[in-house]
Amino acid sequence: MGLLTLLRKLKKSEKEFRILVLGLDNAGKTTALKKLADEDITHTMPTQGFNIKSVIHEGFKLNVWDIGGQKTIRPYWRNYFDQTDALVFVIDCSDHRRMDETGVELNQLLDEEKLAGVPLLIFANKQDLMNAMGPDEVTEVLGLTNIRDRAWHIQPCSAKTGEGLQGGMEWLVKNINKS
Amino acid sequence: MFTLAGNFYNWVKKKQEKSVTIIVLGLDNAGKTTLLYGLKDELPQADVTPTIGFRPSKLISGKYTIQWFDVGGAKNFRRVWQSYYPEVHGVIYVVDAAAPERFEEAKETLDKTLESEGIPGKPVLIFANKQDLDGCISAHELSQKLGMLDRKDCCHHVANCQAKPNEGDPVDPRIGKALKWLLDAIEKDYKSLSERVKKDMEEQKRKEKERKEAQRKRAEEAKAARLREQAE
Ligand SMILES: Nc1nc2c(ncn2[C@@H]2O[C@H](COP(=O)(O)OP(=O)(O)OP(=O)(O)O)[C@@H](O)[C@H]2O)c(=O)[nH]1
Ligand SMILES: Nc1nc2c(ncn2[C@@H]2O[C@H](COP(=O)(O)OP(=O)(O)OP(=O)(O)O)[C@@H](O)[C@H]2O)c(=O)[nH]1
Ligand SMILES: [Mg+2]
Ligand SMILES: [Mg+2]
Repeated sequence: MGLLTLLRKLKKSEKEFRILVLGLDNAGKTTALKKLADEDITHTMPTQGFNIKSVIHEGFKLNVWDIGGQKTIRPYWRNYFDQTDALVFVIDCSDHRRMDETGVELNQLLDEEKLAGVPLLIFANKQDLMNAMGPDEVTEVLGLTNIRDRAWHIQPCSAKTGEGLQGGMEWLVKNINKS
Repeated sequence: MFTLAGNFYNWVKKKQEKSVTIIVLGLDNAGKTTLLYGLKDELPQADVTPTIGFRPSKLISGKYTIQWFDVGGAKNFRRVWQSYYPEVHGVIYVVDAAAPERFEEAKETLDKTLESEGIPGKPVLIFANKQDLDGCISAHELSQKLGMLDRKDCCHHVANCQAKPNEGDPVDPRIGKALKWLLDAIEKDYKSLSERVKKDMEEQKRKEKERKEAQRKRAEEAKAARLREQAE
């Protein structure tokens, strides 16, 4: 193998990352990813399995796995944990009644050995809705301040309007495990 | 004999190792995240973004393993700071010394921190940051503005710094010097500080376990209620 090919290979493997997107059903995961990829978001259906999308951001290739969040699908989340470089957790901030359920699911993820130390981006989604909880409130309700073993960032956003999505991705690219 | 000597060496080494946790606080845009690079003797990344969350990092320096907590300084985020207080040995408070319009806010925020549970008795290092900017004030002037000049009840030190070096310049040596002050202050009181931290952290862990348990229960109840509603 020539030096150039080797370098190219190295560069490629260095720059491709696996991102896992999780969250309860209806949180807005698929909508957020479609919006980031500039696709039409009007007919988003609940995800029954998973979608993979490749997003190029500042020269990084992010292979993003969008997994369905319905209760019946959640037990399968763990099939996707291997070699995750960053975890994105999407929250419907207007769904106050399910905040506790959200917290329970997130805590379980944080306890997963395979996801230990993986940086966590939280999309505090649906900020376009009047009754949406702000990121500070979500931080408190979910007890995010108890996390010590990884970097986390909470990004207020609206998958519908696209606001905040880029900011979140920027944080992700900077804080991803690059080793 | 060899094993024995080895063991003895390890024992001595262990005895000297000290783990220290330091939190970096200050208003948004003060330069906390930028300064953290300097504290680790690294040049800052070109484009830091506002922190809305938490970034832990580690540094081994001599006999210290330092655990750093970088948190966001935006107004609505400051209330989460206190969750970290029980486990820190010392505090770094960063002020943008070239933003006079925010000195009052910086003072109020510092005062509140110094009074918060988990802080009194712990050393505080204050940085008058952005010394490269026009109109910046010196550490001494800042100390006065923050009402720290004649505060005897709080072990503190105020230092000048430029967290973001000019293009091509090395890390500001004043940062390492000031950090040494903080580590020395912690060292002097290490035994009682670390006992206090240990005790407070156990208490915190217990509370957190309770909180998680209560959350799990509430989630189950909410789910049951939903199922009932759907059935009706
Ligand atoms: N108002 C508003 N609605 C949103 C937003 N994001 C998503 N939605 C709506 O929320 C619903 C669920 O969105 P999806 O993207 O399918 O949610 P999901 O997380 O992929 O759900 P599952 O695939 O079932 O796990 C859709 O009707 C979206 O239009 C938002 O930011 N604001
Ligand atoms: N000129 C100058 N700019 C600085 C200096 N230190 C930091 N900055 C700039 O100030 C801005 C804010 O710096 P950050 O490190 O993000 O500030 P922060 O305190 O972490 O802010 P939050 O995370 O929002 O709480 C950035 O644009 C830095 O480049 C300095 O010494 N001189
Ligand atoms: Mg979906
Ligand atoms: Mg910051």
